[in-house]
Amino acid sequence: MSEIEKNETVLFGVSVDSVDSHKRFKTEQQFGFSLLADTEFEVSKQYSGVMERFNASKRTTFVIDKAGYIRAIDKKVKVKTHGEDVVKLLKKALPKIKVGQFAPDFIVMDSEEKQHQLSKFKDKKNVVLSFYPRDFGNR
Amino acid sequence: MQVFGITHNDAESHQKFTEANKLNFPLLLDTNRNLALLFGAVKKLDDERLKRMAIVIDKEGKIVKIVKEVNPSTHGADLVEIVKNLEKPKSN
Repeated sequence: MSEIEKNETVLFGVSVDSVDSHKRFKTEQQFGFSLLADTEFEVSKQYSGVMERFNASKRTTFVIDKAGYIRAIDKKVKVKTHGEDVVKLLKKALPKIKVGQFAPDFIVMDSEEKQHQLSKFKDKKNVVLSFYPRDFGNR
Repeated sequence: MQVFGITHNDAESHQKFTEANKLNFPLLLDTNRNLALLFGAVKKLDDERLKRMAIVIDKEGKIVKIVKEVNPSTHGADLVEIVKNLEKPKSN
């Protein structure tokens, strides 16, 4: 199991190259992760941005947690050490649900369409999140 | 202290549940179970039901208690007790 997998994480490489190019690159480099072919620049435009000069994705790494929140953005990717840098970043940036750790921030609507953000309660109130199996448990 | 109830049911169900039980705290919408996954109340997004658990967060934003054994009939009082203990001045 790789260090990335140990952190319950799946890694994707993204560039604007074609599927064929990705296949060759993956085989040549023996990557253990998937390469996504962002040939329409959709992902790159929204996440990394595009380097106009080379018509390619900017070198940027995003760490996204299980709930879909972006927890870290690395814009200063060093190619040589990026593998180990990513592992360090994951350990630092991904939320840990343990006593003594900071609770990960979130923004969620309630059933009255009111929005709640956890960090808004900082220095004001203790917060209890009570998870339960379902409304009307016996139905 | 601010309490939030969280499960995967939709707003309509939440509203009925709030009314039926005269709840005075908000029920958060987590229909896609993202929040449950983030905090460990489900292991996978397609888990049918959420685990009964409570996470207590202090004013600093730190997790101070994870309650895994929840007794639904005394849960409210149990939580109040936990939070009261948090606010006791430390004895040093």
